[in-house]
Amino acid sequence: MRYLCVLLCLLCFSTPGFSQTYSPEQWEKIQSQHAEFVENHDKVYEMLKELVEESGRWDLIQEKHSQRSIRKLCVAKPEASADYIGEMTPKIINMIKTLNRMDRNCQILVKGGDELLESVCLMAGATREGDRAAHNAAMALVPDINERLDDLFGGRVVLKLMYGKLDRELKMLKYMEGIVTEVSKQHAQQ
Amino acid sequence: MRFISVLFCVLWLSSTALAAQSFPESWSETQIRLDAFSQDIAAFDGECGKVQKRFDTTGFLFTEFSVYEFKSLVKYKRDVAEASYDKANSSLAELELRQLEIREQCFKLLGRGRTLVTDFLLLAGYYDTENPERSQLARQGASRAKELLIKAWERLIMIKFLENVCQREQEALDWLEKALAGNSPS
Repeated sequence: MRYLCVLLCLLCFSTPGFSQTYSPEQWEKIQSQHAEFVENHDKVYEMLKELVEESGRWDLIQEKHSQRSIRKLCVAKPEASADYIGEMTPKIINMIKTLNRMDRNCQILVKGGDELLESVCLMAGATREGDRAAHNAAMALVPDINERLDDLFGGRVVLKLMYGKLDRELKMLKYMEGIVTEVSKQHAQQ
Repeated sequence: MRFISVLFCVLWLSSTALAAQSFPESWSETQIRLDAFSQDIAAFDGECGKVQKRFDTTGFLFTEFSVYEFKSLVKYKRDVAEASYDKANSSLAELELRQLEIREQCFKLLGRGRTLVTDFLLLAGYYDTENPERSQLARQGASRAKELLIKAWERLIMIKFLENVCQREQEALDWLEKALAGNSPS
């Protein structure tokens, strides 16, 4: 009977989850990766908020004028238009560079977050049967990581929209430049 | 002693029986959800294409006129201004509705996609040592769900852009309305 008990004990402890209980070191590593992800996410999110606020203050010509009215403006005031183009073009180019840099940061963070989510889910799945405490601890992190990943994707959507606006602005500035050059040539010929 | 042996037996049998029951159920159910998600994303993609086409073929006030031109438009071509206002107003109402519909669909798909990715990864962990082949399939399922999820995110960029178009058209309409009422700023 004693032999039977020992056998049953062995069978019980060899059920799926128990054999793969995560070590405290693995769990600590996941926790520190999560803390790092949270810290980086908060930093990027704050930077994104600042960028969006700043973009709200931009006075973009493509949002206020039609091509026709821009043409009129450039023909009527070529010098002032040239000054405007000279002032705005580098600003817009710099801002586009900033957006691209931010997007790259977001991409790196998303990659890290995806890897973290994978580690956490693998741990939660592996410990579901054998180690409820480890399973629950891992499961508790899943919604937080998912929420932050969604934030980052949402941030990338905002960046893409901002990029679209600035790209249109840059095209409009080039269009203005063309008209100003044309007007200047005509003036020189006269 | 007999009682303890029976207890162990029951515990072991119930744990393996539970595992045996829940594995295939959640596995097949998750696969079915992935198939449905894939089909819904394809249908959503088609729907987005139609909405995009509708936007592309609409002549917007804000692309034709700058807000500063409304005053002179009203002054010299009041009938054109009034007709443009009515046309833009009804187009905008329809476009806004369609944009809101696909936006709502998109958010629902994003939620489903995210849950699917997580569920497949949980299954991959669950099967890791027991059934490595299935674990590998679960990882592939997670990757597929992630690809579809990214597709939905890409569509959200388009939807947000359309939202922006609607906002600009609404602003242009407000300016034209003011101009028609004789209240437009100089």
